[in-house]
Amino acid sequence: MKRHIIGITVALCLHVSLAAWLISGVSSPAPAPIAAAPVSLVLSQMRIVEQQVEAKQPEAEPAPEVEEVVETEQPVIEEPEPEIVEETPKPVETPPEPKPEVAKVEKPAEPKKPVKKKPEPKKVVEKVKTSQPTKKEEVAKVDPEPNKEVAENPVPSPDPHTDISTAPAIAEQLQLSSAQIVSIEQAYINALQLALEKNKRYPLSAKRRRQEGTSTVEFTITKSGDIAEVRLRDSSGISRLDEAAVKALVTLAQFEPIPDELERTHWKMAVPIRFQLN
Amino acid sequence: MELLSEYLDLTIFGILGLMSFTVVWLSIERWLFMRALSLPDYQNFDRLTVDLTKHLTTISSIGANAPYVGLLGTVAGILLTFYQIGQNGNVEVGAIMSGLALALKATALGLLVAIPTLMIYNALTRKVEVTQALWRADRDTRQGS
Repeated sequence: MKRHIIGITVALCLHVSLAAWLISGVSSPAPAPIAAAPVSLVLSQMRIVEQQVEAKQPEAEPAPEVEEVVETEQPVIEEPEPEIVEETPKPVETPPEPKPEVAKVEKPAEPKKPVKKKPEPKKVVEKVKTSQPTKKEEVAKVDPEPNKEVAENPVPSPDPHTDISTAPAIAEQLQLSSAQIVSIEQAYINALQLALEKNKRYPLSAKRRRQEGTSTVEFTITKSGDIAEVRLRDSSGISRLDEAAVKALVTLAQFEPIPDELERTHWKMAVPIRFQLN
Repeated sequence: MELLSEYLDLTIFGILGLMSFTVVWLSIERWLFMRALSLPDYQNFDRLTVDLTKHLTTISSIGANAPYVGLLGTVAGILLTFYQIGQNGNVEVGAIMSGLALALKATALGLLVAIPTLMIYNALTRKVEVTQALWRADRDTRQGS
């Protein structure tokens, strides 16, 4: 019997101490990173996809501007005025003057058809239908003009062009230089958010009470990556979480330097820090 | 299902903890018994064998079954994870992965219990054989003399 008592007490001591250690030490910090990490990962994936789309556009940018100009013309030729198209080959034979011009107009238009269908075929077609009459006139004007210039310069039809697709056109012009900057910016912000997610600690007391919320913290990041002027901008409503959010930034203290491409000496930003229990 | 998900971890870890507790207890008891054993007290070989192999079956069973208990916990955990995903509809990678990871820890704990248990069991079996052999050797020398 004595042997059994010794065995039981030793085993009991061993297991109780192990269980106490596990419950106090391991279980509390472990769920914290799990809590909100998946959310940020999903967001970052979305952003990366957007960046790729943006990044792809500038590659085809020098062409698209020209293409869009032609786009406005081409559907006009096809849809509203099939007569003209029919007419053109016929008069080509009789009068020598329009012949080369029309031929050239059609040539730049045709090879670009497949390309045009990719970017925004629907929008162009829809909008073209709304503003058909104006473009017919333009087409008429375009014909006498030298074709190469028409193809290259958006000048002859700047008005319809801006009317039809103002937003994409402006966006693309900006993206010429800024798309890559935007993607660098996004990558930097994503990295910062990941670092914050790793650095943040879910307050145990709040976790026990199952308190959740999002605190927005404002701070300034300097060129060298120092984080300063940390302060709370939007409270989550729970002071413990707000404190934890500010603390996450204060303890981070130092981040990667701002990339040179961004040309910023300091960067003031506000980051929402989300505390969410599974 | 909710009841199951709430108590699954507790049940599996409780069973495995109990197994581990029993193994530690019995192995200490056996070790103390073997150390204090005096061969001349036993006149009958079978009585010696019965005393020597007491509790060894329990240790053996625990060693053999702990991985299965852990595996059962893992299977149930995975089952619950997929069930919850099916209910929610939105497939969130983080939720799936954390669910599976938490399910796998039951298997880990089962192995953690089983490996030392089987080692202890083998050691004790060897000790029993040695003791039996020594008893026989003593008997032969007594008969010979």
